[in-house]
Amino acid sequence: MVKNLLSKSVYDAVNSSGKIPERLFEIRLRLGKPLVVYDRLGGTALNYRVCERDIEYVLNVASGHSVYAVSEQLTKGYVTYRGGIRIGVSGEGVSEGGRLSALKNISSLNIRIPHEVKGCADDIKYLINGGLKNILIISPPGAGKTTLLRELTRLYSDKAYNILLIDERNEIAAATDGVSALDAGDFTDIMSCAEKKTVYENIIRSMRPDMIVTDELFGKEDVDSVCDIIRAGVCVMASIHAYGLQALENTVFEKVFYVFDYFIILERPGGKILVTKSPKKQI
Amino acid sequence: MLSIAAGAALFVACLYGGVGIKHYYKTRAEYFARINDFCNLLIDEISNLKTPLIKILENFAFLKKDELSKHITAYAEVLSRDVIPYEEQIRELLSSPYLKKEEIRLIADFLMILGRSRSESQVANIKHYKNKFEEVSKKAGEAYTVQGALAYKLGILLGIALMIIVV
Repeated sequence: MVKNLLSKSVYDAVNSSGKIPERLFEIRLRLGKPLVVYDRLGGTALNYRVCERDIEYVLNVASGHSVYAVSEQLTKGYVTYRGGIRIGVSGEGVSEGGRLSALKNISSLNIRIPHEVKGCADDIKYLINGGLKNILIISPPGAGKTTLLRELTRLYSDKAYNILLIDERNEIAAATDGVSALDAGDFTDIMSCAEKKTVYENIIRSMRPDMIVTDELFGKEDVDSVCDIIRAGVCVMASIHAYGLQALENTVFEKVFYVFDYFIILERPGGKILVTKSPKKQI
Repeated sequence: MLSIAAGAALFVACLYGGVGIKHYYKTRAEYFARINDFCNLLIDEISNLKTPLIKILENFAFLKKDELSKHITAYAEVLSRDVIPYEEQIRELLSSPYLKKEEIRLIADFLMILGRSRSESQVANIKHYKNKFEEVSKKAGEAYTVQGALAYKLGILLGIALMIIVV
């Protein structure tokens, strides 16, 4: 999968460095700068300078040779590829009427390769065994939050709970043509590439989930929606970018303390998983 | 008896040659007329529906089996393997007895720009190439009307003349 996405020269550069492209976590391409790859051990700058053609190649392949069809995704800063690979993009923004209408002169790409780690939630399986709960996973970017969320979803799903997975960026289940490439469980309904708010408003009643799973809460709107759902009696398991619980205090995210039952805190990839009850909600 | 047979054979050969040349001009005229239709389809699908490129290519090629469809199908097949072909590879795909070298280059350049930018610039680029194709199409249409018809008539006349001489 990764091989298809990279131009031959980039792929060869990664290979010749002794890294196995499929085992990498991230590949970063910055125009005119060295190619950087990340694996479990951290980042390594390779002896290869990224050129415009390399960036174009990735974008063309990722968009199915139809960059025009993903321009809206590009303005949101990413484009997704098969197998749950997410490509973060940055370049020059074009604003129209106060909003970002397009992205041009794309100069940086961050190819994130998802990894399914079955068993990564074994230490906190007791949470699932105790039945449905509102769970928020808190971690900085790149600490394995999505991997853990996928695993917990699968475990809940295996207990025959109906799960509605809102996979906005298509990286949790990595569905292609309706079939998920990564295992999110047999009792999981996947709504991919749709905005959370739209799904909250339209799909929940028709799908009647026991639990909603969603990645990366961002901003007041997401938090308000999640709070409304929990108040409506549907459990939510979500994730959020932050360094620990304290980072959420006195912010728009503070409401989560009153609706979520448990917080799972990750600090770094492969690090210890810390579970804590909500300090402000009576369970 | 042998001379009659030889005369008839020469007539058929000349006629076949005339028909062949006419067919050559006809195929060229149809190719470029249809490439204009292809441009219109691309503009419509890209600007309104944002249909993925491979789907557009496949749908267009499905409509009619001809030289252009053959080229479009071959290009779609390459793209669907997640490969971005180099210009030389595209030119190779387009090699055809009905196209001149500079026309192959023009079509290859055109195919190379497809799908590589936002819809607004895509449409502008396609329109630019459409104008170029219209010029070629006009010339190819005229050549078919004049030279194609002439070659056909000359083939018949030459065939008759040779038959008379031989018989």
